[in-house]
Amino acid sequence: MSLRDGEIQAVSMLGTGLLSAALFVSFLWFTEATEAAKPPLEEREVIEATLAYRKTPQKQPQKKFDTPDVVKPEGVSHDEMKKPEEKKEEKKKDEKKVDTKDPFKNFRRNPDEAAGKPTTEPGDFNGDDRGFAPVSTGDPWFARLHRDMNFNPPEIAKGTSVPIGCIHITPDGKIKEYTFDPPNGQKGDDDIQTAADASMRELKKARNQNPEAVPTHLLRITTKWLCFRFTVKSP
Amino acid sequence: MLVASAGAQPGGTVIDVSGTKGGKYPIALPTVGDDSVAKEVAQVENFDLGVAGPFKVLDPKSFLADLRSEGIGIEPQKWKDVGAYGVIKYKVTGDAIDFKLYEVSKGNKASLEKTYKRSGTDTRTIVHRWCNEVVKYYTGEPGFFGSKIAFTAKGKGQSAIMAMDFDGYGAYKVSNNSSTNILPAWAPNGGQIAYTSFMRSNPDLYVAPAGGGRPRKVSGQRGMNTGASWSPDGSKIAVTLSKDGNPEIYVISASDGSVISRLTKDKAIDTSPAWSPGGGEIAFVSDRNGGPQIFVMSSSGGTPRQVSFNGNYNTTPTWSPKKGKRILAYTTRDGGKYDIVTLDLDTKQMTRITQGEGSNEEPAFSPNGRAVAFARAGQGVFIANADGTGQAIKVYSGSTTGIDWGPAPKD
Repeated sequence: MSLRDGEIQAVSMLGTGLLSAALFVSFLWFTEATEAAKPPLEEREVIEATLAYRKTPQKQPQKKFDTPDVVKPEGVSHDEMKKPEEKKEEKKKDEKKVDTKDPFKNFRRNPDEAAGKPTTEPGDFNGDDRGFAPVSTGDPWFARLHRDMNFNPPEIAKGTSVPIGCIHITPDGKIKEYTFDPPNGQKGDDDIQTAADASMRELKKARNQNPEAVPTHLLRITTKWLCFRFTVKSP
Repeated sequence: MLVASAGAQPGGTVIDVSGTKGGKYPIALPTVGDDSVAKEVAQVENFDLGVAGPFKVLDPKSFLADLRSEGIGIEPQKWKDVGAYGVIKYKVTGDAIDFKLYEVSKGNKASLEKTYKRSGTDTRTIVHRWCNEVVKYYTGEPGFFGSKIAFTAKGKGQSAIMAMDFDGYGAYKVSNNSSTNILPAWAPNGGQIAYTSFMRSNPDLYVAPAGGGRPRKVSGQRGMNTGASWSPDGSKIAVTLSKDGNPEIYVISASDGSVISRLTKDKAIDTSPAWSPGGGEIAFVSDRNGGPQIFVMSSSGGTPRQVSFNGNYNTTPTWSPKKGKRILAYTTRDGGKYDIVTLDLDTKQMTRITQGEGSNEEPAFSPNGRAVAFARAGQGVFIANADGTGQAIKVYSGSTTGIDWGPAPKD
């Protein structure tokens, strides 16, 4: 047996309707049952819900800048009694000459000189006082002083004396005078003495032409005769 | 050098200004007097002590002293102020010359003084003797003033052996022929000069009186008889002989030329022997290792040892007479020119005597080893300090070669 299309559609619609009705009845029955099982309203937890909405965009805090004062252009004064302002002469700034070869020349300091001013004045020269160096020979200032002495006895120099020569040096590094024969010295009457004498003369000449100031930590040597012992070593 | 002796003295650290002896000795040689003899004295004295080696003769323009009022004495401080260590004063009288040497550190008392009679002795000789005394006073060594230098003077088609005072005065011919005469060598006593002459075609070895005169043939072997060098005692001569074909070093008798020993035996050329002052060694030139180099061997034979290694051309060795030293001077080629150098065989220290001044060859030491004479090509004979300091001084003009310096003068 076969059904026609119309018959098939009618049966389908009838079936669908019956199924829908059955489902609705079941839903109602279960809903009521569930409601009956729930706790009373006041015991229920309330969850609030809000709707999201678009906020107006907020700007970041901005730094305030000072605006320069507005300089009003000077106009013609209508005050006939007003005296014209004297023009101030612009002081020309001294143009610093820059040594192109050594632009940092003025920024250097002598590494051998102690920074700062002396805390005490060294005092005046006392010609009766003699002494040897107060510091070790490792001091570069002494090393340069020694270099300028240029003590080189001739190959055939005769004698074995050990002269002691003393200088009177001023804080600016100039040598006022030199002398020999200090209390502890052996007065030489040979070529070694002549060599020491020539050495002192050369030192005086060199230091008076190109003085090197006595460093602060050595200023005490300017207050007395500063003595050196001249010795000859074997070649 | 700066040395501290900490705590050695009260009141600070003693600083030793320590110096090493090494410089020249500044000496003032003022002219004392206006007459020609006084001027000659000053001139000879200046030359002698100027080339002596250890002295620096001060410029008279710097003198502060009043020479007239000082006379033959000195005011020490005036001389100290000009940097003088020593001052020499003299006084010429009719029959004598008085000399005084002052050391300024010792005040106005003379350290050395001598009086020389003028009769029969020329002024130059007197001043040479005085200067020898001065050198001896300071160094303990004899001076070489008054010694002589022999050399070969080249002419057209010939060359002659000549001799002269070390300062170039009184040059005279030793050889007396029109042939080629080369390589003179003074006998240790200064009385004879050996040289090679081609006067009979073959380069034979002759010995002639140092003052000139008839030569005596000492070695006439076939081939070369050249480059004589006397043994210190004067009994033997080291010489190059090529009698067997190849030039080798031999020792022959100075009296009859007989061969005493043959020192070298090598395929290479061995030549230019030089006997050491002690007599134990002989230096010579050999190209056995390539270019000509200096070798040293025992004077009794043995294996030679190369001692020169600078450059590829080193020739004409000569020994310094300095006692206790083993120093050679020789010619070295440097950049196409020739220069004189010295080499200390013990310390290996090399010193240039000439540099950048012409072509210099064939050195010879002064009798005390403080000066070196050599020939400068086309210019003449020069002398210079053996320590390489100062400028060389020309003492003879002309085309010269083959220099040898005679022994110290006898007083």
